[in-house]
Amino acid sequence: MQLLKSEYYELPTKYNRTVIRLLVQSPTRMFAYWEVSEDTIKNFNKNNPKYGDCIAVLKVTNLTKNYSYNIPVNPYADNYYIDVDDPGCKYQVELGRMAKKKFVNLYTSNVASVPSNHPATPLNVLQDEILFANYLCIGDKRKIKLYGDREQYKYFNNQNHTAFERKRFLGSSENEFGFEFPGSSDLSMRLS
Amino acid sequence: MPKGYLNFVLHAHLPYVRHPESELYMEERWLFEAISETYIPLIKYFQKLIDENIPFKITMNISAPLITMLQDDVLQHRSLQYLVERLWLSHKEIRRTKGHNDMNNLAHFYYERYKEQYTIFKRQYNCNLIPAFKKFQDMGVLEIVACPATHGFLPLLNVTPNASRAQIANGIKVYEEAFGRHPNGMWLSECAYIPELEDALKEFGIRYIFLETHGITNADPTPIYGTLSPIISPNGIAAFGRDLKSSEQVWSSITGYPGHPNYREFYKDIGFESDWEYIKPFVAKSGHRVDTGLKYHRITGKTNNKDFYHPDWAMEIAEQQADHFMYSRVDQINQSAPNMIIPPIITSQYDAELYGHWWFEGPYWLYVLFKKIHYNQDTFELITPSEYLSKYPTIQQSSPAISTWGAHGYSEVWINPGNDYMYKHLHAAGERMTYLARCITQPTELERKALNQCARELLLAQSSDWPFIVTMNTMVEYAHKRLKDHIGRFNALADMIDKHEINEDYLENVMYKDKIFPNIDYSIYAK
Repeated sequence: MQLLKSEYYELPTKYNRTVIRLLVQSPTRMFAYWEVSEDTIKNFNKNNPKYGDCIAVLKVTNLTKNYSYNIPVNPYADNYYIDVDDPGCKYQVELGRMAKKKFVNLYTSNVASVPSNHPATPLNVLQDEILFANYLCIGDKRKIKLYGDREQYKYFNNQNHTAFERKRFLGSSENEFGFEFPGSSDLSMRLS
Repeated sequence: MPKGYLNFVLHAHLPYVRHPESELYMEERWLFEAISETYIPLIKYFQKLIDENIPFKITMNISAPLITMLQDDVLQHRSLQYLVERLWLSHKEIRRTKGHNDMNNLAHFYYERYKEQYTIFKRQYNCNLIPAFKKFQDMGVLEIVACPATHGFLPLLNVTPNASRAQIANGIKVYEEAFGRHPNGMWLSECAYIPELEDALKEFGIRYIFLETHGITNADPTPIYGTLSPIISPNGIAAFGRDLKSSEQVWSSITGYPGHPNYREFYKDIGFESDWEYIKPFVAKSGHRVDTGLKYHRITGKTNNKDFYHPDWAMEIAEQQADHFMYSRVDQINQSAPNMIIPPIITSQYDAELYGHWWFEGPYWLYVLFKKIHYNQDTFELITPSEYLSKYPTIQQSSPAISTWGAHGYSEVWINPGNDYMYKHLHAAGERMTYLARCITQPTELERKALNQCARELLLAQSSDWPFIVTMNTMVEYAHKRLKDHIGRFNALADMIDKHEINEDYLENVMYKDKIFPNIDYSIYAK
């Protein structure tokens, strides 16, 4: 077999479909990307003012707290970072255009769960009884009453939640990682 | 009876980098360096502990790409060549440094080190380190856990649930083929957890996972013992959380052990400092200066004037730090155990490559730590997750929180303006793969081969390393190229399948280049 030494590929610019996908970056930020096919635009134009004349909008819905709002976006954009106020909620985004002050849906995204950024139960209202389950026999569950001073449980959770930046193998340099072995800073020049 | 346990976990992973078509890719050196600096030293010290009758327990994840690369003929040959070159270089260094006592002692040190590594790699294990790790697992001192197939970052792939399901299934398959048993646990790539993964974990028989600290402390309801006990999700998946105190002692940029002035300085290597003609045969084939592995200086302090490295001084510090680590765990367990109805377990999880590659003395520190734990205290013992769960199966039920162990604890490293463009292509390929698998249920032999290769290309494109490298701004062009290559090959093959015009030469070429997951079955995507 003759090995192909050089191959060259370009990524497709479009997939000719209408879609919007919603991804979660952090407890306060999501990322949406989308594409609108020519067919969708043609269909839109049949029943509405010209597609290009209508404002592009993302309709963000907080499914947990049941509210929505619109974000106008650049008509030529195909992605957007959405800042959200309520961590720990489920969100969904509709891609659409405003036609005569009316929102016309083109596609609805997947549902995205934005993480919570704090403990679920405030430690001062810990339940009296805690549910335990048996790892070896999943059906075996029982409630166990806590004993002792409830304050003691703060010890277990009184930790700094900041994740450490870790040094990784893939050709890292100390500045890029925020992780510095003392004594190595003088070499940043060489790495740059 | 110990009051508590230490669960020491090393995560060993490198992206699949294998270029049989050329020796010019510097990225292949990641594997050679890790073999020499981390994997062989770990194997050496595990064996030494066994020879000295020291009972120990450790948990490792060896990712599927790493398993595959360690078993690959081309890469084994090149790894051996790398070791032989180090041996030759250190021999040359003995002659070159004659008359300079400190450097000459170190040249002898390196020569002996590479001689020993050659013996372990070539003579003892015939260039394949997987049987070494398997041996330790079969002896019961090491528990190896599986990892998603190409270390895919599952929360961002799960838009097409088949994609994360196939990552989990193929990771387990590679594990089973290498180690001859089913894994109990899985290291989710980047400790990235979302509840939606539990169905696939359960389907493929995974019983426990590892999480970043806030995956436990933000779980619902709040786990009463924090990370000092695993929790069990309503689906029956147990989760161990990273202990911050023990992590900080090793990882911290300010107080972390690896920064001691007597330890070897990583950033001063003769690859960058020697005369070009002299060092040329030992650096990258592409003609770039790179690390050779021979470093003569110690960290010394925040100064450009580095002192010479003295291995015996470094070993003394490693011994002191092992003591410190051990007694810190004794204190931690003494404080927590009286307040718990089960013995506390401290889960200390690290990238394996920290040990030896970044922190040269790390494997020795680990060896001394395990010896000291055995001889110098009786407060706690080493344990593996499976053993702990068998001994203490009744644990608090709680739903883990969405979390990762990346910077800031969520997904910013893997999705940001530098790499977000990747997901459009990964999701489109994932959906097309599912479509093809559902449509073609009775393929010809050639179609089957092409479909299986499509699945390989998709998995390789999904590796979390590509967006990671872009964010870290290191080998960025290589990461972009790899994504383009795998998506490009996927689309080319999928187009051929669609048109019933499969180019066999092209398929064979791609199969030879991306030779991972030999027994993959594309129909996993049909569900």
